[in-house]
Amino acid sequence: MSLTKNNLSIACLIFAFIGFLDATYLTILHYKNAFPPCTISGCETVLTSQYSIVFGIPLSLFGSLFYLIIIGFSVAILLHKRKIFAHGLFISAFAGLFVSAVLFFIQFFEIKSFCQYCLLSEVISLVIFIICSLLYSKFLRTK
Amino acid sequence: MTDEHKLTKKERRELKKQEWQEKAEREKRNALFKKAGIIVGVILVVVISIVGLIKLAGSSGLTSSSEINIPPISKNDITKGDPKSKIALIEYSDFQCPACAAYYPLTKRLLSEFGDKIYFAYRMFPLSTIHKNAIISAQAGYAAHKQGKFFEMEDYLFTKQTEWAELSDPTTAFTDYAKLLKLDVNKFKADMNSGEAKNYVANSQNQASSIGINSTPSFFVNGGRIINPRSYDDFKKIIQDELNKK
Repeated sequence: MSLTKNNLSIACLIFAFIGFLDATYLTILHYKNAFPPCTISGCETVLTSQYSIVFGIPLSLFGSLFYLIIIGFSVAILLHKRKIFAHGLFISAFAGLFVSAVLFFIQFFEIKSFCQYCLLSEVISLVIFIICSLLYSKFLRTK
Repeated sequence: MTDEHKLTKKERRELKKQEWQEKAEREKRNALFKKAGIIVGVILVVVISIVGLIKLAGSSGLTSSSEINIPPISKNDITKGDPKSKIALIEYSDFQCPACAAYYPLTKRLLSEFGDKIYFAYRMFPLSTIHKNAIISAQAGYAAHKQGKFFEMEDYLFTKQTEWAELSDPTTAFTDYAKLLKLDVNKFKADMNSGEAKNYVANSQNQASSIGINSTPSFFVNGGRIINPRSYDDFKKIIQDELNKK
């Protein structure tokens, strides 16, 4: 499989979809006042910490929206190879990576616990960022 | 003859041009369909997965709960109703949990409607990690219980939840409720902060999490967990069905 713009967008789409499932699952559970099945101890601590809610909105909902945006830009690039979409995708992916890194450090230094759903999301946003960077470089090369 | 030939040539050219145009149009249409298909497909997949996740989130609670064995109502519990009644309803609840406050009018109505047909126990499961005043409010409930007015205090705690939930020190609010309930306020204050109250709440909390309860409110009818009913009528039906069983 060569690293064409189409293949990269599809890869990005797939990972964003996995991330979307992960974040949306947590969002639904939040509003149901329930916890997901946790295998790592401390998972509940992370999911119910003061950092899990911003302005009364659970972080996982922001996560779901982030992945939807990535899905949107990936589909847009699949359909139209316009530079503006590539800009949008790269900026979103970078923002996602930045937020993920902050959340990872909050888990590590502040809460001192981890939750596998959050870690999965953080890994996915890193993978998405790598794929999007490759895709973006292709767009930058083609004038 | 030459004229005719020229004409046919022209015609042929036009015919070809027309064919090209049609082909181009067809391709354009196909591409448009393909694009629309991709967009519709992605939207469908997203919507279906949300529905699936909602189902999954609902069922995961159920499957884990079916294995939950809860201890039967004992002397240690805070109860209401007749111990000999056919229905034992146990609620694991947190005074600061908004969902519990939302369910409070339902259980209240249920208990008044069914009266002694239900033996009800309130078990404390303060979600202290998300609700900062969960523990102290549970202790306030325990202090009222010491003076025989737990359910009256529960009424204040749930109906006035928004007034005290975010206070840095909610004990004044709780003392005010105690005054309104004509409790011995000094005793109430002492009981609320006593080691006994702290132990009771901590034990209750530990017991609930050790048997695998992970959300509030959690209701058990005759030892079996029920999916939280969506309306009063649903709740009533569950109780009615259980009554009809025997």
